[in-house]
Amino acid sequence: MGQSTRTPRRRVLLVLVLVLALAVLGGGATLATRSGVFADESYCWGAWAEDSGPRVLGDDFARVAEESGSPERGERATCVVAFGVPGTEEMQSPDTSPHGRTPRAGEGSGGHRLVARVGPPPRSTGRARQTWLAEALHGSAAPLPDGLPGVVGPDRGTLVLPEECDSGDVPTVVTVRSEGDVSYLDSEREAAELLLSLAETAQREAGCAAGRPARITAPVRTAPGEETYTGGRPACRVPGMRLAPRRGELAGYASAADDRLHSCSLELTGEDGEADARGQFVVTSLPRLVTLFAGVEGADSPRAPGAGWRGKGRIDGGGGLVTAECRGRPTVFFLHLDGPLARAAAPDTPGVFAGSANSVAERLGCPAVGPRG
Amino acid sequence: MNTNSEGPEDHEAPEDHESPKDHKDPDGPHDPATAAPPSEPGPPGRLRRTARSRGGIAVVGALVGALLGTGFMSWRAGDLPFAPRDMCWGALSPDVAEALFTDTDVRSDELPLRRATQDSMHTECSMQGFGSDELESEVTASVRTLGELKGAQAWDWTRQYLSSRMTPLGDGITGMASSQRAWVALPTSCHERSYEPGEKPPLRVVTLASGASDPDSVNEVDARRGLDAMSRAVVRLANGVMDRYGCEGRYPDPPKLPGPPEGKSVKALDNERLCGVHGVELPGWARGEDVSAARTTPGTKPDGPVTGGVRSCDVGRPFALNRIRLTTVADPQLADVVSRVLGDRADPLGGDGKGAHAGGLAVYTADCQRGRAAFVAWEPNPADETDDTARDRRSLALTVLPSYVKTEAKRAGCGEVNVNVPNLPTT
Repeated sequence: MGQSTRTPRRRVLLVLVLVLALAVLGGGATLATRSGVFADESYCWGAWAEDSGPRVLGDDFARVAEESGSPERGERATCVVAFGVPGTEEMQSPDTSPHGRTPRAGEGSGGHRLVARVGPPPRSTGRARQTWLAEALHGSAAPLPDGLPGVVGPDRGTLVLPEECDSGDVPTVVTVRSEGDVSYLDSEREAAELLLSLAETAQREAGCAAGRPARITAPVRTAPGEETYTGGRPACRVPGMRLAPRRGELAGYASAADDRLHSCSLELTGEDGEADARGQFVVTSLPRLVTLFAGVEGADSPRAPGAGWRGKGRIDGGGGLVTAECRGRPTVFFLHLDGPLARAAAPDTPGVFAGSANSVAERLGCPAVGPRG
Repeated sequence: MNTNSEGPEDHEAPEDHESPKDHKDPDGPHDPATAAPPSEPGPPGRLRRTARSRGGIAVVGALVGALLGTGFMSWRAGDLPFAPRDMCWGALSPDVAEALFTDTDVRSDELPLRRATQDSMHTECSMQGFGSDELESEVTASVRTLGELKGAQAWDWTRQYLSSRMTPLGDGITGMASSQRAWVALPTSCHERSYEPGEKPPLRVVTLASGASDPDSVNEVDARRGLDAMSRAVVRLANGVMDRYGCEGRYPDPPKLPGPPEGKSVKALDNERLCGVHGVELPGWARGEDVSAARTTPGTKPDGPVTGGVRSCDVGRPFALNRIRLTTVADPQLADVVSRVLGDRADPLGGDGKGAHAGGLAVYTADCQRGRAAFVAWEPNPADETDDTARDRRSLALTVLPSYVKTEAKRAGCGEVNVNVPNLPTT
């Protein structure tokens, strides 16, 4: 009976060997899950790690991601994370194309996507830039706390990276958008978290990660909800913005939480429920947000936009851009109205622009910008 | 019944602070059941024998383990007796709380901090300063759903917490402080249940109150010290409550606020520009000795934007500013509260916005760029209707309201707002 002849010393040795073996196995397993085949997945150049907080990165969803381009300085890069309940039809053929597939008739809006974009605003001074600005500074987003140059809403976020990341005079901007019929972001806070981790990655990739990455400690503001502007109520709640469309319903989001950024997005909806026209009104004196308007028609104008105007810029039938000093700060006043909305302006678009700019200037405590109607 | 059953905090023994091992005392309050040593008297020999036996070792080991365990858990939970404890739902550290008092011995007692949704009224925590074991002063912390107050309760809060003594905290914090009162709005995102888009959760605030809201005189040194202590404590209180509610984000300590509204800040009155507001004239019949001084919310300019969301002005004699108060509330959530201070029985006021007046109090609201804004004109000692002299039947509040609203509405981003007041006695 061998066992009974074993001395206590041998028994101790056996235990020690067993313990050591277990420890090695355990450590190995841990290592494997961290880096090897069992590693947590991460998306969009490593910015968003699985299970790092936001619900869309958690266990409830399956995800497929595709990166196009890399966030180098001056370059435009897009990353799409298509997500959905595992095994559903959406996840059989996930849509990770940068601009999204056009949903086939009667099929709704396809799957749910988280879209990350890094790069400068479009070089175009016209339509493409207007569309980009309408998304980036949408009225349903409120300014970020702690003085960060950006906004977050329940389904989006925009942050302008620091000057070190500029290419020439053009800033680098990171945006996050939750696409689909409903947003799967739980709060503005989640949008802000995704935005900041994307910004950190973009800065590292572009080699401009000087100093500490941007952090938010203060509570994130709740963005305003949609409202309608009917029955003589001025659009965007700005007294000077008189828009009287002959048909359709005018609705929008108006965000004026502080005196550094005022933004409003308008939508004119026809009887068929489709948006017939959109509009945007922005007033900002945050220097990094002002850079987003560089290159827009009027931004580099050396002249006043017309008689009775203060500051410099350009105004036409669809809106315009004026830069004027307001309480010592260079402030951008921007208005864009699609055709049907421009035609609804009372008395006309330049008149609405002047009235709106003056209303906001009055609240900010600075002299009128445009001629008084 | 709701009072927390914890004993009064004791801050007299700082040396006990970091010595958890001292608290393995078996008679300590934390584990009376398991910690009791074998107490039946027996011959010493038997005890020693028991201790040496295997079973004895096991029992002793279990006891020591249990004691260590409870001690450790108490230490983790911050429940050790005699250690200085954070007061008021764990929000105020001893140094922050003690700065609110001139006495050194501060004790606190609190009602449970109910969950945001269950608590429709408010919950309180009382901090008391003792000097030679006598109660000398008290500061009350509370958490309340301001958005659900109406009528007299809403007015009582507005009157105390939006006076011209209160300084806006600035730095993105919606709140104000004086040496007597302080409040901070909890962020809209800080709610137990999620609200539908478009559904507005009611405004919740944390407040601190100490003594009278408008004391006759506070010396400047005490006022400065009090303002610093109150502004820091109320922000910490908000952070602590947010922590307990599980909300994300914390406010930084407020910066040093502009000087408290004592002494020098009371200015001689300009009859042509009441409270420095352009176009607001003090009517001839109201001029005189008792209307000679005014004080405006510190850190705000009378003719500039309404920074911090609230601007108030109290007018009267230099040491009794109680003839009239004019207040502009540009924060939409607060304006909602102010708009409810008058009930249905108040007399309505016409014009571009909505309003009413009753008993020396006139409230007017308008739709503005940030949302709703409210304008208040209040006479603390209104004319007595039984008084025979015509002078005393006139309403100063209704007389100045239209011009005040006209100017301030522009500053608050409401554009042109005209108020129609009923015909006033002219003689």
